[in-house]
Amino acid sequence: MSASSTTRRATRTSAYLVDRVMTGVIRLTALFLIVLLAAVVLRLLVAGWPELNLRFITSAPKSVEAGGGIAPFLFNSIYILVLSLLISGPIGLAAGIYMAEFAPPGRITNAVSVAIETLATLPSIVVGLFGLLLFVQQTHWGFTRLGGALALTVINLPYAVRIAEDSIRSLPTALREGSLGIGATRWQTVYRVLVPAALPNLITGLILISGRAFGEAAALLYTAGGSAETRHFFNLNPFAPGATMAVALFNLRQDASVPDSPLISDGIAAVLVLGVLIFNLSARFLGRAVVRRVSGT
Amino acid sequence: MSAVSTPGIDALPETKIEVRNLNFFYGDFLALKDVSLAVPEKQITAIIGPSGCGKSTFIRVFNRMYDLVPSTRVEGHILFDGEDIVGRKVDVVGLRQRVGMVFQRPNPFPMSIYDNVAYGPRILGWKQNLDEIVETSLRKAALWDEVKDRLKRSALGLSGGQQQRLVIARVLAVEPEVILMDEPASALDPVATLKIEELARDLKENYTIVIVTHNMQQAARASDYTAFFMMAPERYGELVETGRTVDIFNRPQNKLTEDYITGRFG
Repeated sequence: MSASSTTRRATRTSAYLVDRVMTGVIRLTALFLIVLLAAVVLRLLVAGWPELNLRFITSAPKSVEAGGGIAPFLFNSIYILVLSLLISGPIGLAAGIYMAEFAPPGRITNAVSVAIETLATLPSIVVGLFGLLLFVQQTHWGFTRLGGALALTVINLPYAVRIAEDSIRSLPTALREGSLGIGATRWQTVYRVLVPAALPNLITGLILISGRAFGEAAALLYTAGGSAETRHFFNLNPFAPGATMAVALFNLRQDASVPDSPLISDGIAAVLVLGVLIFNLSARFLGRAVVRRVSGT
Repeated sequence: MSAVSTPGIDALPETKIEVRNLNFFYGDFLALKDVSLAVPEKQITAIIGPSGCGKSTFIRVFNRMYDLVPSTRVEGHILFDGEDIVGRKVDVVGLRQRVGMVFQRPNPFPMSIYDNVAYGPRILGWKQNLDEIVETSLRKAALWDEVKDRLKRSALGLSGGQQQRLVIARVLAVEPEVILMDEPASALDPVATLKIEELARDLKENYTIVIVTHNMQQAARASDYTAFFMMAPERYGELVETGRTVDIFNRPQNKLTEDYITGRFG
């Protein structure tokens, strides 16, 4: 009996040891993520540091000599992103609401689900090629900001639908019951109770999508084109070509006519990283602020 | 069988809702079998019984809340002011305005106290006297004095008991005739529970109330009529006995009822 209790205690001791070791291992992997992010961000920021100034982001690029800026590329990045969100936001919300609240379980709903997943996993260069065929050649528009925005929408949309669907679906059933239980229709319940209640998550999701789309290059390369209006870049014509920062970065590393192309591409990379950081941090901050406003606590 | 039909001392109240031979199915599973019950007008009817006997399912037939659950089915008749509310042709949205419901957990919307109460009138398109409707409803729900200075603040900042009274005010604002309460005090402390019971007693002046409770003292204290449900050996819920609360608790006709209310099982 005392022998068996000794073995038991030994087993317990080794279980404690394994517990401690495994806790350490998984903690290390989590730490590794932070280190990885810090390495990427710091490396790019350090490389691009000399160019991180107001002149760089507010002046036009030069064609042959050094010292150009990236203003039109930055403007195009934001312009195409906003245009694309204006399209994918409402469609994504509507489709997400349908999937969360109205879709009857069955074949059509499953088909929509599979379509969303497949769209989300399409390689973006393939979406770019599709955009080239449809929004550039078929329409005879040539390279345009609108074409770029539409291609970007193909990439955004599945994420927008999923985020809207998840945000609405995860709301407590009690909210639906409370609204339907006093004679509200399903649609009244959706737009007066569920969408406002889901707003914090919807906003957070939209910003996270933006961060992802802000740096998209492959889908825009063949649709918005590699050139940018350098003199009157601040116009809002959707049918002008519009190289974004990510596309310009790609081009600068391919074949560049300016002597300082490595420096400029490092600068662009730093601006892109900063942009994405800002998107992600503001998503957290705004989401929390909206929650506080809504719950009033 | 039912005490409602035995001659009483007072005149018997009118029947507001009459359930006739109701069967309720979840898919192929029979959850309630052959339930017949008269709900008297402007009285409090308590539905009691052990867990799993179908109390909560039963209360949801009065406002068709079961429509939200896929593959539920009802057989039989439910006459609301003489009109059958079973079947496809019923205006369910309109019915739910007349038969309001309060749930186990308070479910205020994440908006201001005022907007919570004004929600119903707004969706019904009642644009006039909103302030008045809100104040009257909050007064009827015995919450006005506690919230009158912070109507624009979020409802989520209220205590659980206050939230439950707010939800009752939200229901009252659409001028229902019947109020269903599904264990409305189960998430509340004893003081808040007594307040809800007191409130229910005040409200029966003007409303017909059906309250599900697992708490027998609550049924005995707060209700006029009691219906006792139990799970049959075949696992469907059935109505064992119904009548005036005083009779059910003092002179139960059925041995099962007696065992349950004396705490011998449940």
